[in-house]
Amino acid sequence: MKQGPFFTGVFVATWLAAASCVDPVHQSEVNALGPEAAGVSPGPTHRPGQPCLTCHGGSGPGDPTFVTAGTVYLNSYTAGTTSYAPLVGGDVHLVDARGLTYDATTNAAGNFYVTTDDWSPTFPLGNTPVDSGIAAQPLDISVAATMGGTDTTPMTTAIERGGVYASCAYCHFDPPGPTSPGHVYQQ
Amino acid sequence: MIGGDSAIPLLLPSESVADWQPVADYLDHRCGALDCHGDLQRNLVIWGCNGLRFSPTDVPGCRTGPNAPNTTSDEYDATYRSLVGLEPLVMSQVLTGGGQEPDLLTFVRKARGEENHKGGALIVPGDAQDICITSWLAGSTNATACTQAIDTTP
Repeated sequence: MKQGPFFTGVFVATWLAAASCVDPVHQSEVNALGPEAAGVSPGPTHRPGQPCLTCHGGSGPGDPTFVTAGTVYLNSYTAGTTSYAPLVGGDVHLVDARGLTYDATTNAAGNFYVTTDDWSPTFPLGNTPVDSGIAAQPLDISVAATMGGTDTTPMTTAIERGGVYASCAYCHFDPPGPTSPGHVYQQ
Repeated sequence: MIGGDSAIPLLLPSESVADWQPVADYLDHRCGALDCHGDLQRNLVIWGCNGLRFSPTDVPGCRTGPNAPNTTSDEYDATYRSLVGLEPLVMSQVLTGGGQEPDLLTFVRKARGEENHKGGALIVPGDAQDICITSWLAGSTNATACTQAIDTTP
């Protein structure tokens, strides 16, 4: 069947609509993360150390959408080291701007995540607003009691806003330098 | 003076230790996180121990102790230049008026939420944060307000 100008117009309009939905900046950030590691399927333990909310921040392609997420390691950065042991069973204690709290636990890869279904905090996380009357509180990352540890590493600055910025790795990446304190670690 | 023979006399706010450092410490604390203005891609860039460092050998993180590598003089200078350089003519106009119209400055309007700001409305006219900034623009920094602003905000 020969298609006339109407069908061509519909096709072009549909193509343009689809193309306009792609944010090239976001897509390039997603592409920059590279493929999955060999032998690791998409899931709670994939891509440790990467900025989780690049994909799970609401713009896709990751599902579910996270409020915040990241990876915690046992030890700090050491020059020449490329692989670090994860902190398994660590407690990530989060406080929002209203003083409401949420505790997440790191999994076998050291990953933790808080979905938008789990918690709806008011940013910034990690502290409280001027008029709340609640004492300032840092974020805490601590070893779960079940591991017999008590070491706590407080984070001294707040996570100011959501989206990709609420990925630990947005600010915490290796190597440490003027723009990053290095990966998140417990001791 | 800017512009050689056709120089325009500009007033600039004080960069003295007593006047500027309390303001800069507050800005570093409140606005200088790495996910906000501690980022070289911002128009207003804030350097300091809480976020972006000036020296390639320093890392983010304020320390305690007598020899702690906290905010450096280079960082205070860099933040001052970044802030004053945003709207130097408007800044001069505000100072000429004795700091009575601080919201002529975009950074004040954004902090107050009077203009779109990704970080939202962070200060309320008359609160400690506002007094910290506006007293500096008026020529005599209220350091107590700056300290209070740091102690009571994220």
